[in-house]
Amino acid sequence: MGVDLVLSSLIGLMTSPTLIGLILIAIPIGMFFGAVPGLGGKLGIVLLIPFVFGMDMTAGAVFLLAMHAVVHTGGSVPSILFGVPGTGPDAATIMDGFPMAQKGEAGRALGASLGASGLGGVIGAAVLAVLIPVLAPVVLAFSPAEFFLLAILGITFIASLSGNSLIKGMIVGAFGLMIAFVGMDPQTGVARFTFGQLFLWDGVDLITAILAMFAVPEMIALGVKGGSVSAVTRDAANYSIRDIVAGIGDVFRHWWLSLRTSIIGAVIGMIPGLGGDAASWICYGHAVQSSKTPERFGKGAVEGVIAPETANNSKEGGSLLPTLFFGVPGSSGMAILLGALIMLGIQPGPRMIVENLDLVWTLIWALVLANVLAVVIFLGVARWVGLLAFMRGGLLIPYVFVLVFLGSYLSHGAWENMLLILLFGLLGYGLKETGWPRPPFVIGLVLGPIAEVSLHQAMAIWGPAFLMRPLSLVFLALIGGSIAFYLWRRGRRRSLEIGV
Amino acid sequence: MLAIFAGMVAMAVGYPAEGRFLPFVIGIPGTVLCAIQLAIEVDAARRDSGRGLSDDERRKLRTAGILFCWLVAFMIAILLLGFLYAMPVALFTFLRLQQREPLILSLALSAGGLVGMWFIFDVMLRLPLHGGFVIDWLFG
Repeated sequence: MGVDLVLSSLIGLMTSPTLIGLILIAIPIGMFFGAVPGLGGKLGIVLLIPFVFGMDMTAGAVFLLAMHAVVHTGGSVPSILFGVPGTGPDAATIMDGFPMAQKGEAGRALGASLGASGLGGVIGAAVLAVLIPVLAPVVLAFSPAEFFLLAILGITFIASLSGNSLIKGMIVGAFGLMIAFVGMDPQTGVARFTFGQLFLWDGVDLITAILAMFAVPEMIALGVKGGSVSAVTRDAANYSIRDIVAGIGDVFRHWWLSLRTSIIGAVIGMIPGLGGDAASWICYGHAVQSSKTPERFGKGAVEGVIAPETANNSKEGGSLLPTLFFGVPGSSGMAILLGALIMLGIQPGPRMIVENLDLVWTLIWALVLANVLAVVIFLGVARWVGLLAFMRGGLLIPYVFVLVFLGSYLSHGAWENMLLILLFGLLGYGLKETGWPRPPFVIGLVLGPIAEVSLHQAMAIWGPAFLMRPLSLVFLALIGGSIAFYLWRRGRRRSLEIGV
Repeated sequence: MLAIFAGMVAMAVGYPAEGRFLPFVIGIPGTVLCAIQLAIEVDAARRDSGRGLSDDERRKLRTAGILFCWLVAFMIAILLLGFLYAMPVALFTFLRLQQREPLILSLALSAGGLVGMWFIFDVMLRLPLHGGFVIDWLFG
């Protein structure tokens, strides 16, 4: 990897009006999905999928990543102003952001959140960039045996960490794998689980399944909930640009804390399945523990805003690492992004480091640029951003329904896919309402074909002895460790609950 | 879930050995896990047997059912009329009847949706949209 590649990717990005234009469009969209409680980045990616059809793979990936990177920048707005988190990981920001707003320091809290988000995003991208040369020899040593076990590891990671029940996570992950087997078997050419339907011979369309499992249930839930999201007074949204700039200054005044929590967030992002909630709460806890005056936290300490917000954005850079180089998504949002990247013709995995390193660097620079530009754009629209939380979700429902069908149709050009939207949409809503995790389904669906092809290749080369290869043993240990970690964490949570 | 897993495993029995290997490796443990989860939930339901659905839960279920019916209606409209014709009709009907929005707002939002879809997907991206079975039959 040469410096020329790093610089040429930056120059390529900066001198491309298309890519810069797409980033500028993606930022307000991402902030919108973050600022309207109940929407979030996952839904954002799902709904933007129809718009990237026909785009060049770099343009589409930059657009989706830039949008996803700034979701939490917007998500802090309702957390601070109204005590309503825009997305799950923004909940930690409420602890001190909302008390600051109640004390009349809403602008300062928003500025701190904005500066911290921007800085965290840049540092997260930097951590990813620094680790690429370290990782390159490791990922290039992978054979089909490791690919197979990596796919299984990805499923256990996500399954064990995306919900309260390991069994439910494993069932949904296994269900995703079973659905991945629909279509022509690559080994024997037999049509499996197709029920004589020609459109299923190529398998269940990934985009159709993602749209149905995520967008449809979210919209039905939004319709069931009804009304506008915030039931609080609009007076809270009164603040000045000067207050916001003062808040941004706070981030640099607490530079050591900002740097630490950004790095912690990026590292947490790299561990598949730990998720944004863990990053923001761990960093909030770290800020409290490392403060000389911990009693100020929970009453409006600006460090209590900085810590979770740096982590929220820096984890995106970290979670790109397993997503791009191992094909194992670092979070549920990345799981959907992974599906979208595959749809664009990008095949995440170790080969990215050899064949698509220029694209990887373009994505890293896009991440940096999106986070920096989000700060500038936010300053420009700061007066009106708070009003997004009052938007009525119900108005979005019919547009999303149409976009879901559109995305499904465009991805394969088969109208029959629309029937799958109904089937998987119903299933997805059922899973959502009964508390079953949905991300493992996507992981299973994405990793299923990789797992099957790799397994057959590994068996052809080594037979069952492939499980005894040194790297395979490492992966088997990681799979066991991931399940053991889940059980330990669950036991610890239960004992804490009993203690309380 | 148990029925789906069991059904898929049963179907896989008829495939050649290599074709059924992974469906068995995943499907059989999946079936066992579903059976365990079912037992857990049946046990929990037995303990909770006296409690029926509350009025709020019933209302939520009804609204979800209605919204799902709208989703089906959207699909039928799109299949028959195509995206460009179905979109304004579906949007307007939903906004007026389900959301009870004012007439002018519903018309404006529907027209905005149509113009947006036509401009982005037809003019800018030039993507082939489903034309609609009825429209195709009428106009060829």
